[in-house]
Amino acid sequence: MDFSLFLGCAIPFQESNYELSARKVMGELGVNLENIPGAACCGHEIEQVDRDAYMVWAARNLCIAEEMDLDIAVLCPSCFLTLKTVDQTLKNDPKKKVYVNDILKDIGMEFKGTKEVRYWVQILLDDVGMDRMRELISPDFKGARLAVHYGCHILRPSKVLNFDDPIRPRNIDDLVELTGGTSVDYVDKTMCCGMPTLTSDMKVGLGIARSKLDNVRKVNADAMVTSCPICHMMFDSNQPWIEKTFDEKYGIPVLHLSQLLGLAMGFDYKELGLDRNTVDTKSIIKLKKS
Amino acid sequence: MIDDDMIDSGFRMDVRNIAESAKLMACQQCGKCTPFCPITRLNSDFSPRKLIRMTQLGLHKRVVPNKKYLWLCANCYACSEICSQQIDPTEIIVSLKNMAARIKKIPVGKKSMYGQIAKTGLVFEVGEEQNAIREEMGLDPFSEVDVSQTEHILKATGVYDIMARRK
Repeated sequence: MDFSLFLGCAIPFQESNYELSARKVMGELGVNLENIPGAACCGHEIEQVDRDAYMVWAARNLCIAEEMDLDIAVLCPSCFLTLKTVDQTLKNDPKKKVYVNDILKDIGMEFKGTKEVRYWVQILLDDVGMDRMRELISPDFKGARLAVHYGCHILRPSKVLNFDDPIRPRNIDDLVELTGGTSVDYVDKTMCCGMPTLTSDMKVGLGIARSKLDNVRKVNADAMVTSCPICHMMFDSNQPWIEKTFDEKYGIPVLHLSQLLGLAMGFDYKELGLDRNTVDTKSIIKLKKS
Repeated sequence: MIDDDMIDSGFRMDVRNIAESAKLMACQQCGKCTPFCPITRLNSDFSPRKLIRMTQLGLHKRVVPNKKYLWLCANCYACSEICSQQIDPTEIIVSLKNMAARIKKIPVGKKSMYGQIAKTGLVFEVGEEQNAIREEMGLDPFSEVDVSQTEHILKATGVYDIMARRK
């Protein structure tokens, strides 16, 4: 199975180990990911300034991917929401498509709407399937308590995303449990990480992340598992900053979903970029049974 | 206390005229959204319900130019998902932010982010340092953005000056 990979900018900026581990896991499961040359930021943040600019900007990214004649795989939930929303809008609204193409024409592009935008976890669930994954993912993490953090933009708005039940999601918990660990419940599990508010009110943004870390600690989780580069930045890279701001000590390792799956598939620590996580992840290796 | 001169009677119509926020007046202030808002927990002055009410009442000045208030919204869609009336508060807030951007009322942290997007095509700039790490991991270097194209889009849609300005 071949897909083009829309990377976004958070991943190459600070979360390249998410890409590294996702490529390892997906490659092993028979999914090949091709780079999209010249793609920009998805356009998510531009929506707040102007919806038209956001639409044309995202459509440019879709056009570049369309040239490759492959469906588009996305690792970042916010990129996924943006590209999927704009793709759906332009496929269903001829007036908006004309408006967008009129501007894109100046840079030699045209949105045709021939490809689908897919979140990588969706590809695992629907195209690869649980049976194949069960064959390759060993339940090595029996006894581990893992706290899944769902990124907002794979769940909400559900009418656009259609990925999982937005109130009681299970998709990522089920994947995590393939590794033998228990996906634990905790208060406010589907709540935002707070990252978008860092740029408008730092204390509020950090405070949201702190309350999530508090809730994860209360259920004695061994690690958090994310599937969004922005949420990972907030809980992993920013964890020392959160600790300092609120005079706390958490030391909670935060794994990309692909890193956890990769470990259970037999890839080693460095192959999955675990040495690049901010909070030490060696305690997770010790939980592995074989 | 709300005085007559605080009310901008055209404001609510402006918001309703935007397709994404057309259901503004359907909010009955049930407040079901409030406990789901992550911002409200840390700043009880803020809630999607209050923002909607102020907009319905036409309190433009309290909502749109208020940089420390409107932009607290994290765009998490929790209120939109739970809303019984399906008015989509998040989309209404996006409409309000679009109005604020037009009059250049953007908080400083967001402003520098938009400047970065206008300049580089990216929220997070990827340079030599990042590419060196990618090389160590065996990943391809990040492919460069043709900024003349992204700049053209921002100019053609009339937001380049809003996003790229220094002040």
